[in-house]
Amino acid sequence: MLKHYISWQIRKWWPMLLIFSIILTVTALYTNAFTTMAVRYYDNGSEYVPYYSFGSTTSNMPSLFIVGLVLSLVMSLFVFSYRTRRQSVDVFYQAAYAPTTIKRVRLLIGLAILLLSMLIAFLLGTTVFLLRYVSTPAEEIKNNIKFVRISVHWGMYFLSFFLTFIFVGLHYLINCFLVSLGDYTFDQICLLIFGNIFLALCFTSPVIYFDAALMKHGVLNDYMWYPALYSLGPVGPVALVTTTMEQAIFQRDVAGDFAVNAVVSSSIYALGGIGALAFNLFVPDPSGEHADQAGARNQAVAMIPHGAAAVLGMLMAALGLINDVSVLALSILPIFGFILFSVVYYALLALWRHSFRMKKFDLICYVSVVGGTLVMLTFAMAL
Amino acid sequence: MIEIKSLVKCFGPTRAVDGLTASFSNGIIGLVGQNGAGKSTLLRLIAGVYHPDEGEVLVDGIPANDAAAKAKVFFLSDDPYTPKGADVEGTLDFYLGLFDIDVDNYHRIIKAFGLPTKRAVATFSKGMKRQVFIALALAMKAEHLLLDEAFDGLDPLIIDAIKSEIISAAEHGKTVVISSHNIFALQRLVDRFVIVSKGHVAREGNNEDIGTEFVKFQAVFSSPINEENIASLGFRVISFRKVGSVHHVVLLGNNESIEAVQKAFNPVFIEHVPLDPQEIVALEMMLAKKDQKGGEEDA
Repeated sequence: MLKHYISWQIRKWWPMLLIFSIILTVTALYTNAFTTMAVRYYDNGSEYVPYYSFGSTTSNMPSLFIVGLVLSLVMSLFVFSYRTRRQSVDVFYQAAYAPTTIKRVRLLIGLAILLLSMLIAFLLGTTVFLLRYVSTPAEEIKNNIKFVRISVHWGMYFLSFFLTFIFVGLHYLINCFLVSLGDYTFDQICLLIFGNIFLALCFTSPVIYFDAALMKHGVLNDYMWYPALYSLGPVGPVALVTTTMEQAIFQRDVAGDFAVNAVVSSSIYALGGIGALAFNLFVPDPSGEHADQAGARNQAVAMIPHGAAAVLGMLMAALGLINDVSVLALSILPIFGFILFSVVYYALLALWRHSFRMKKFDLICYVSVVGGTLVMLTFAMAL
Repeated sequence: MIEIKSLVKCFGPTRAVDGLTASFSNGIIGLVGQNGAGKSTLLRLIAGVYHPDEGEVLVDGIPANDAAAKAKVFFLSDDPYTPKGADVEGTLDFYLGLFDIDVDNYHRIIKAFGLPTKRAVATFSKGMKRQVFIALALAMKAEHLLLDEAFDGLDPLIIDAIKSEIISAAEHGKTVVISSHNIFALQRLVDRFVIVSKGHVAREGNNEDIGTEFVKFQAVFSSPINEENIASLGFRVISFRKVGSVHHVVLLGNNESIEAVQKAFNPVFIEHVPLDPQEIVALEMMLAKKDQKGGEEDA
């Protein structure tokens, strides 16, 4: 019977594989077309010397990675869509399987579709890349432009895809964890946004804040942004796949702390993904009455939007501290930033709770976070 | 057999099912109660859609949340899930992915109902849509069928067509539990009534037994008589209504109670009036409500 359910579920979902494969393949081919012919030179002081630019072969990976991350958000919402309507919960929860089995099958089929579409895109992209590679002469001068067949480090090429593949999968698992905490579509979207912000900034914001405060007094070196990689966000893995890995392997002298941080950050992220997978595989589903119910089903989840707001507030204050990085209106105009922050935070809470009136719990959290942010911004301005 | 033992299900401060104990065995059982009495919640608890807070539900001795118990039960909600754009075949295909269905029987019932097969079910009228899902429910290989508000908003012709299919399913050994607040629809269908009020069983009994505790009479008295006068004879008055000079009274009692009233008040005219099933269930619900109120006042 379970076999029947799995085959039925695959049959129902195969159009997703087609759509995802088309999107990712178009991305891979597009980036291939514009990157595989690039040859880079560096100025050694007396002449321009060509150098092995592995970025030219792996630079289609970041785009594949980023599109994969977006698709993983979509897929995670799709996997748990059955929990957002009372009608579908009535059907799925009464089927002759444990609800956890239903969830496991959907989760794993979603993962398989996502990864399979990445693999299809990679194989098609690689085929086109190979065709371009073999059809390019080793060296040719045409219209005074020198074309040089690109140097490919195939190990690097496959390793970067492998890491992209793994980390998109892990990102999907983390997203699934966040989505599984909600039972209402809008809440699930909120959980994805708030949860990803929280996970990406929960370690980094305080670190950046204190680093920034210390740097103001000249204590810290220029690597103050490195802690940004220590997070449960995909910043570290993206950095690892794109440039850091090459540096770590081939340019050890310049890789430095950045590579180490990216590796550590990616490891934290991988652990997060494995934890998220374990959660969804082994934690039983909630009782069916939560379907289509706005708001969190427990207090810990209700804390997520407040947690996200708190770390965002902390990041705003940190940006306010860094005069050199005054790229955001938030850092130039902290008051404007504070008002915007407070209004958006309130609006999202109202949407989350389906009411403009705040419950006592939300009100206490809101006042604490907004007040804390104001104090930090004032502190940042005073410094 | 479905056994329900001291079942409790709360939604926030509301106790939707409050210490309910009952058992449903072969045949057709009518689960009757007002809106909000806890009927749908009870059915979802039996189907394993909800997890109970206290107590347990056993389906043929297996806890309701076990996959083995779920395979024996099919619950049709009052607003069932309709796959997007699916016609009757597409609907069957969707449910086949999750349930064990007798496909031939489904096709037979669909044909018997005369439903169009090429149109999307979502575009059907409420009655037609209901027929599709009743066909689906009756074609399930599950031994226990739970039909929530099965006849809600349907016209008598459709109700009759559905009833005959339900009777046929029960004859083939299925237990069919039908919840409804439309008592009329359950007439001449169910073997047993279970009346639910405020989350627990208020009354239950066979079709024949149910209502035997009531006696109804109509009378014309020479002097003014009120509810208290009759209650003073030691009877519990369930309903007391005066239309013109005729009093319509329902008591907890029997024919001897009418004789006692006749003896005490010497009416100009008095006669026993038989109760129809719809009235009996309405009276049972009224009695359950009064009991509940009395219990609360005592507390």
